[in-house]
Amino acid sequence: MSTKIIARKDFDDARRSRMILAIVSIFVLFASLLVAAPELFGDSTTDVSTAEALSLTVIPAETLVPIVSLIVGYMAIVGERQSGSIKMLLGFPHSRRDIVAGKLIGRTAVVGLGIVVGFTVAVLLGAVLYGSFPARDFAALLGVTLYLALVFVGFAVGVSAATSSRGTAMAIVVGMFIIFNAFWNLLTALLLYVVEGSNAGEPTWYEFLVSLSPMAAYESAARTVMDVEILPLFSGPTSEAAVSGDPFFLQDWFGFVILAVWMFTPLAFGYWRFSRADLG
Amino acid sequence: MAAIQTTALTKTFGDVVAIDSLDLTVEEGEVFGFLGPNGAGKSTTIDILLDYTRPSSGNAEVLGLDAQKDTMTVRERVGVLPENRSLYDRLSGRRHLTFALESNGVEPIDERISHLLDRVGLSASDAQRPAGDYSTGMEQRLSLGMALSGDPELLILDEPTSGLDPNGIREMRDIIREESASGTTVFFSSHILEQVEAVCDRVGILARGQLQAVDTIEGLRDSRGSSARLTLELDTVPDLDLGLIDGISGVEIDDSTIHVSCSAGEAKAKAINHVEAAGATVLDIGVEETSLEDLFRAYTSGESVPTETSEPQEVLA
Repeated sequence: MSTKIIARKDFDDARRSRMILAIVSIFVLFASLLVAAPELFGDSTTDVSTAEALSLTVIPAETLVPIVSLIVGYMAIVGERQSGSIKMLLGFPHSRRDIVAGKLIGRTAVVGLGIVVGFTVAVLLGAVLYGSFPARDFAALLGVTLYLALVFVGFAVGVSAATSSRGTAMAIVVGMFIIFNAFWNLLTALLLYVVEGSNAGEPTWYEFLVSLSPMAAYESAARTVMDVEILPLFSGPTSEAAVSGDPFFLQDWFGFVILAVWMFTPLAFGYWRFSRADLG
Repeated sequence: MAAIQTTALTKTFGDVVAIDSLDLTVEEGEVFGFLGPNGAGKSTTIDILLDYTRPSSGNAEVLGLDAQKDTMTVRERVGVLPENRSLYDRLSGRRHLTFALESNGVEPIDERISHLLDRVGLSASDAQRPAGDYSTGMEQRLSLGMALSGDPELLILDEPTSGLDPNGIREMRDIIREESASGTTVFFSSHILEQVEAVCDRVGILARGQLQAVDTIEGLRDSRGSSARLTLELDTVPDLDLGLIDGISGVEIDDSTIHVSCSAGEAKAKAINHVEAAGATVLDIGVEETSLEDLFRAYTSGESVPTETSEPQEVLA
């Protein structure tokens, strides 16, 4: 009950700030442009299905969804601590756990609304342009993208709960995003070079390390649920065709597990810190 | 059962001792003023009562419940007005009250909102506006409305009058009196003294993390010696030593005016009699009770009550 009350309060606050409007607009533009891209820029002789057009959104989404989710989530709790409104919240019969859970739900709803509207507009546009409505692929893509949003909002809310200043929270989410969005493949490749030398193959530990990035995990997860092929960006060429002979932790479905770890670890740590914090 | 009871309550932040072995008891049904200069440890004490902060040692009970273990029950039965402003700029007054009522599980919401708005003196059109547009006075009213939303047994108000104009202070005081009349215990902190004097059954003075005194206002005055200053304007100052009279603690002569510090009520009359008996004519009499300000300064600085520096107090209500 408390969780729901806090989540609704948070959602209403975001609505008033026009943040929701901005997020919905971003996702509508983003998804529509990508789905329309084959029609606008493609070779008109090849047939494109709506599902294929839709799959074009996966790669950009793994950058956009984390950015939006981190921005929406990182101030969730530390912001209320800095403004002092946390004392008002906790003056009512709400526990600190209620606050973390309510914030997670409220802020995920904010990003989620943007994703649902954006992808729905895009799939309808696709249906008009390409004449097919891939209900299953659409539902799968929507589901896995919402999951990605939940994971990144969870990460950010965890960080927000763990820290006592806005600056620290921001530094952590920005740092995390930069490392995993821009440098993870480079860092792992460097490590491979250092450990194995220049002409090594790609040992299992290296592939696993690469797959640990939440962006790579999302690609793998999306591949498991969508029928169309998704070009890998982060997961690296070798894991593209993850075969059933690979160890379980290199198979595509394991992406869901990796994402879950990315959400629960910071949330648990953040809650642990927050539950012990002096909110002076 | 006491409304609030702390036992050897201590809180340190690193090397800084915020409260130092505090034993405080607030009885049920009373209005208790928690006085002290900024930084004395008032907010830290309140923070522990509501489990915003955990004690380093000792313990705190609120309505007979352990503040740290039975936190949720405490929050159900207590109404809180936190220090500083703590509202959501973008949400309307109505939305704030809805949140408060939902949180306390009170229904029907709409009816209760009109009642609360009425209670704290906000209009229905005020309630439609976002709290970010509110003046400090309106913010405090709204916060108070939220604190009252669960019909609490105990009201904890942290600096409720800060930022209010005299009118707002009077209204805040009236609400505190009404709440008290309906049986609610009120515990509020302040560093502004006149407000405490007007509304409290008892006060506790906190300085440097320790309680310096707990008493009624009158009790504090008596226990601290000098309680009034008598000013006599005379035609001539006679040659006599009023300081020898029982109950007179000090005499100051300024041309034809003498200032007499009296620690007992009857000493004032004695002083006048002695002066007249010595042949002087009293042209005018002024009596000034030791202000709470003086008392407060004395307690918080650890000095005796400075009677000779008292100036007329600014009357706020």
